[in-house]
Amino acid sequence: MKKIFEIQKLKLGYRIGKQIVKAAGPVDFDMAEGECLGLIGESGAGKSTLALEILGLLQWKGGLRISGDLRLYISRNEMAYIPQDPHAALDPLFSIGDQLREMARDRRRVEKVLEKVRLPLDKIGLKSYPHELSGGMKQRVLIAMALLRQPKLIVADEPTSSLDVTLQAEIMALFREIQRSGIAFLLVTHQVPLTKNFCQRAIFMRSGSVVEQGFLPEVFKNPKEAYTKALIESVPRLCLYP
Amino acid sequence: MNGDQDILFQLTGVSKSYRVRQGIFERGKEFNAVDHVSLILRRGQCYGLVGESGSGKTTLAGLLAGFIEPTEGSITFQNDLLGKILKRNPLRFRRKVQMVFQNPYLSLEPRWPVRKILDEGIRDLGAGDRSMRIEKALGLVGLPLPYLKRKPQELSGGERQRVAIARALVMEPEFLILDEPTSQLDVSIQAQIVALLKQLRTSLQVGLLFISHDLALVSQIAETLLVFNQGKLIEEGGKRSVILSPASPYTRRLLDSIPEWP
Amino acid sequence: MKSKSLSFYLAAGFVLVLMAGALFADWLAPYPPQEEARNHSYHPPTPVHFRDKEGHFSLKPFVYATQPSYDAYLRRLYPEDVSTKYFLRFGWLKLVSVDGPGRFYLLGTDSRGRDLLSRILYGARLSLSMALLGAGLAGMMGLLAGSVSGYFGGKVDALLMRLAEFFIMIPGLYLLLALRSALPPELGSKQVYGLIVAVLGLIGWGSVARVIRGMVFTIRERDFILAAKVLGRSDLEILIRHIFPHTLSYLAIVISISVPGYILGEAALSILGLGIQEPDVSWGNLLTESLAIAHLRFHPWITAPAIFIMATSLCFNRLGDLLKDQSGKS
Repeated sequence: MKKIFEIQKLKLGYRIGKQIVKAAGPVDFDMAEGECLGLIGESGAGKSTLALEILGLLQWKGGLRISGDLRLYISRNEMAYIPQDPHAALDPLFSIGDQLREMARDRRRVEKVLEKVRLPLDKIGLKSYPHELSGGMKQRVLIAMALLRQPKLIVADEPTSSLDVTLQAEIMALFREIQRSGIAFLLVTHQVPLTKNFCQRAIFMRSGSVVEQGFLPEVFKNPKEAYTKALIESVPRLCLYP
Repeated sequence: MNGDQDILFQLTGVSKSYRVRQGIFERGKEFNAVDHVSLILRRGQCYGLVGESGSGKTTLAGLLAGFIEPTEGSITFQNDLLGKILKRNPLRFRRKVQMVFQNPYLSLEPRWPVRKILDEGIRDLGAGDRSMRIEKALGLVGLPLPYLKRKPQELSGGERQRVAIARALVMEPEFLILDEPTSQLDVSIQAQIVALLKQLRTSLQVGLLFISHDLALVSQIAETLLVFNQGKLIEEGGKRSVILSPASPYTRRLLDSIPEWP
Repeated sequence: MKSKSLSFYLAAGFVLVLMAGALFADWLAPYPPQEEARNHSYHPPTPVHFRDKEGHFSLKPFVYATQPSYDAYLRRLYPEDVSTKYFLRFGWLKLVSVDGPGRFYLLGTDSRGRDLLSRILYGARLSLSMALLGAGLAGMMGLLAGSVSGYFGGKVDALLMRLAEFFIMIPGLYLLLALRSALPPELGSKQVYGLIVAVLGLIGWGSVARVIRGMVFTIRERDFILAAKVLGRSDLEILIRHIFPHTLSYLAIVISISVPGYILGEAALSILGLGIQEPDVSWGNLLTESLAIAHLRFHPWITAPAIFIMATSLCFNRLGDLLKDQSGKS
């Protein structure tokens, strides 16, 4: 099984004033090609920080690697990023056509990808601007932009947390389709149920450290650590009683 | 049996419309945040309002709490027009119906000590009475007395939300409106708050309106479900019947979108 | 509060020293502000010596008496008479005093031989107090109008904002002049003082009101305001207990930054003779003598009040800037 990356004793932090505050680490885990890995944690767990470092974007956000190793087996050009807030991730000054063209010049490829993400081109032309699109459509544009990079790995950071639940289901279905074509997925989320029928493995993080990792659905059935157990139990399930 | 005595709120054909201005010269389109809604809320019951974004759920909360005025229709509280009650005898309403807001980082004055925050609603009562109510409310939400001196900026999200609940409880209300009270909180803290609310329900017999976009979450605590979409009340009914046999296709879509769990 | 920089301490220090100087002018000023010495007209600043003509060093500073005389151009000269030393005395009644013919003019004298430093210190009382009161008045009026406007909206808002815009539109100096000339010229100095403060307030409240209104618009949508309403608090209570405190940081900044404008406003009026009149002293009317070029050329020390005005303005501006940075960080 070919690997995408290996992380060994990685410690990451942010510079705040004159101090360096640790945000994540020391962390060890790997990811294989074509795999779907869930990075699960609540706020402040350090999961977004890790995702950014894998993508090589941490420095942009004012973070840095304190120590440890991140060995990549694919190039960063083969990675794509779907950020959290679709409303903030598209440049409001350029049409979506222009922004998609930044990823790929070939118009036919762009149209094919837009079909794949089910963006209704008859309603939303390439000349439209981000503010004319709803949150769900913006997210689809961002997914299209990611796909145009022909990536081997897509890192999605809370891709549905600002979307309604009906849209969320559609986006997750789209992700499943994309994953079936062999693209690896790193799903960073605090919403545990999203990983259930999607990720093969999950890593649970808390306050910067890895609490538990394992194959799903085994970890859900038999969590080893108290924290994981408590987390799994707090997720609200549809309740018919009393 | 349920009679007129039991009715707390009655909404008849209530609408709230806003005008969105498109440009400097255009008058703008009117849209209904709440669209001709009629419903009845009874004393002591636990209601769950489910709606996605733009469903009008927050506007409805504002209408029920009295700080938003309807553009159409009537809202009555205990069979009297809410508008009239608020003008003539507002405290009669405020002592009975209280609200907890969504964002605990914005719903508390960041620089006021907790004691001052809890005291705000009952300032016209005697000192002894106030102290007693404040300490009781603090205990009900599970926070120890030393918290009275602390300020929201020193507290975590979950603690702040508990203070917000205590602030409502200090008024000794009969009905609590909670507008997405846990959406800004981590899921483990969310579970704690829901447990707290269930506890309060049993010990104080207070009625609840729990508003959220998360149907699974709402189903944890509500007995009656109200489903909203684009300002309209789509479906209303007992939890079991709405979940097991939804009448409206929208409700069905909502139920299908819930990720499988456990 | 975050750590304050050196410039804050310098600016605040200068302002405090100035205020103390104004307050304790009786002690600090070597001479009463009205005391004239016609034989010392346009006396330059007295040199203070520590070493006499023989080269002996003395720890106690001293001055020499001067003899008024004229040079070839009929300019006044004040050569020193080195026969007698007059030591400066430091005391509790007066900080610095000196005996007999010896005079201590740190900043020189004006046409009537009045010590400029003393007059500047006494003048600070009027100039600073007027500026602070004016700024404070504008701030309070702006706060009130802006809060009511922003909180209630609707017709009240429209009316108040049109009023504010009207006052913003009027050029302040002309308003001052117009009001001053509409009133009898023999107004007592107390009335002139009150008039100037009132007019300064009237000029300034408009822009404060507009900004406060904007702030209140944002604040009133916050959940803690809605919560107060749901708890049954009246609008007045909400305004006083919630909204005002949130506007205070801005108010402090705006008052600080507007003080220099008011100092200059008063100075402009008084230079033109329409403000504080003789025998009262303000920085503005101290500058009337500086208007003639001849004086600047031959007696440059006469412009000392301008330096004080400049330094004070700089300090208040700096304080305002620093307050702004502070409120941005917190």
